[in-house]
Amino acid sequence: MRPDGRPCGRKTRAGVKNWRVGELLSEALRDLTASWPRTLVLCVATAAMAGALAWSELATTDGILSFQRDFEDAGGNVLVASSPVGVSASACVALAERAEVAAAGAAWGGEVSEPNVAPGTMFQTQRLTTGTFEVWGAPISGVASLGIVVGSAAASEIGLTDGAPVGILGETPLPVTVVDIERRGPESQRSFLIPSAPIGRADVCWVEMDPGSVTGGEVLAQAVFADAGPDLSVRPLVRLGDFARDPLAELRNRPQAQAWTAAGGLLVLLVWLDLWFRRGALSLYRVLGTTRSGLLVLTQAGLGVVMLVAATAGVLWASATHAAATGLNATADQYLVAARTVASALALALVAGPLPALLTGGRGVLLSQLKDR
Amino acid sequence: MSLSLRDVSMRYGSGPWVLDGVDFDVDDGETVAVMGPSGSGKTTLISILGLLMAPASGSVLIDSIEAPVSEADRHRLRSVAFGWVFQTVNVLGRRSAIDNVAIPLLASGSSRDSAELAAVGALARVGLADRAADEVRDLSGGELQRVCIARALAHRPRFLLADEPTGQLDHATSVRVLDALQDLVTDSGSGMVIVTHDPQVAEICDRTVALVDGRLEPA
Repeated sequence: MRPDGRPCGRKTRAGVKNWRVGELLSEALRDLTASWPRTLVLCVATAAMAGALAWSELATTDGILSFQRDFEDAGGNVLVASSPVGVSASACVALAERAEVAAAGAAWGGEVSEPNVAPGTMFQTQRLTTGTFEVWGAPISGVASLGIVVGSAAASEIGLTDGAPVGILGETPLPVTVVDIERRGPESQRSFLIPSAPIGRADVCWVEMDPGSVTGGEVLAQAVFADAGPDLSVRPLVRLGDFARDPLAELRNRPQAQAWTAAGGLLVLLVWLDLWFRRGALSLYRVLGTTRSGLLVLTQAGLGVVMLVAATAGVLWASATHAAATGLNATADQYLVAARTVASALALALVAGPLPALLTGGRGVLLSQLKDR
Repeated sequence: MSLSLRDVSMRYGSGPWVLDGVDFDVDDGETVAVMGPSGSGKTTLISILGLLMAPASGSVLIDSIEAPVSEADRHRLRSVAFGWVFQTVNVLGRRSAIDNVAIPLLASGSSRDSAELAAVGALARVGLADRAADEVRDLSGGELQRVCIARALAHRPRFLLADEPTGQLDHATSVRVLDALQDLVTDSGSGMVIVTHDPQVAEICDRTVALVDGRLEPA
């Protein structure tokens, strides 16, 4: 207090005395606690809205992501480059170092061979760089890259297990490693695969791109293998047909991508209704010295606390009920999509909801608003 | 040191003139009652005096200086110069008497601690020291109006503007509220304008004017 008994005040840049920010936020919390019935209504409505949005996002993305996972497992991001004159094996292997390339490996078609452990049975042999096994989803390393790798179909046909010595093409027997490459390299499942150095021209270059980079990968491969002549072919291992699902398009076009505006709009209407019922209290704050901007902060801070807490509760509820209903735990990506949608709705409500507070106490209406109480 | 209206006129839309060339003065420490029948424009007059409303024409002068036009400047003057007591008891429900009285102090930049200290003092001056921490919904009508008086004077305004402050109170309670008002205004040296149609209220004031057909006349 000043010596004359008048209170000390803080002046804003415009010279208008105003609330201290900390006191304004504390007042918002006191107001929330004191008027708990309306706080409860806002909480329940926001939690229900956020929960419903999050639940529907989790359910929708479940289907899309599961299809996307199957698509990628089957080689949706894999490109196959080939040419009648072959492609450079070293350039192929070097692709693995490029950005957005997950793995790359060269392969040569081979001759037919009769392994020493199965006289009379003929098998295809192929030479591959180790990157090919990565592209096929069966990476090998260490001792396996020095020996012979056998597709699981061939191994089961002649009873081979990991470590068994096998000699092919008249060479000294080497220990075998059995791999399952059914999903991406099914035609090599009944082959003997010999890890080789990237020398000369390979028949095929297998390239796995990061998700979403397949188109760029095609351009990259065309450029890298330009010396392979006009008959160079770069094609996706799995091609989405015109009538197949496109998970990215589905994700983009899902109804929830727009539904947050409706959900946010409903919350805005609810907030406006709440402010209408509170017009007397807001007018009182105004007539007792609170500026319009102060009133906006007071309203926004209170709503912010209620809505953030309620929306978090709603999303947790959606996550728990979704897991209970489907028996699946949602992935981090699914939570991210759901959280982004809910956050968009909340942001709309928190920006547009408190705006009517700015209209409180237009000239000549304060007293009538106070008498309205 | 005075609050004045000069040639103030006001009408709502294309309706009749509620105020028609009104001149009015109240000095620091002076108490004035404005009487008149319902609908005569008393609330409009006090709203213009307290800068809650701008007149259609004419001027509001504070210490002979014309009141500012910009809303920010009017707001600054309003929150420093005026304390309000309304006919309807306007309080924040489910909040304590201290919380209610502290609001104008907080709104003018005081810390919570100093605002609450001043609020307790103001409540003590209206005889509510023992109810200061109670929620206002537990107080009687007369106690509530005294909370409003404490709130109006807590930040020591230059002028107290009261719109039918005893309009909804019984006789005995009205007497207590008027006593509190009179004591506080005398003690603080504030000027006071009370809008009323109750002669008993007018009696406590230094002078009384009547609003008739949009013009002020000595009562």
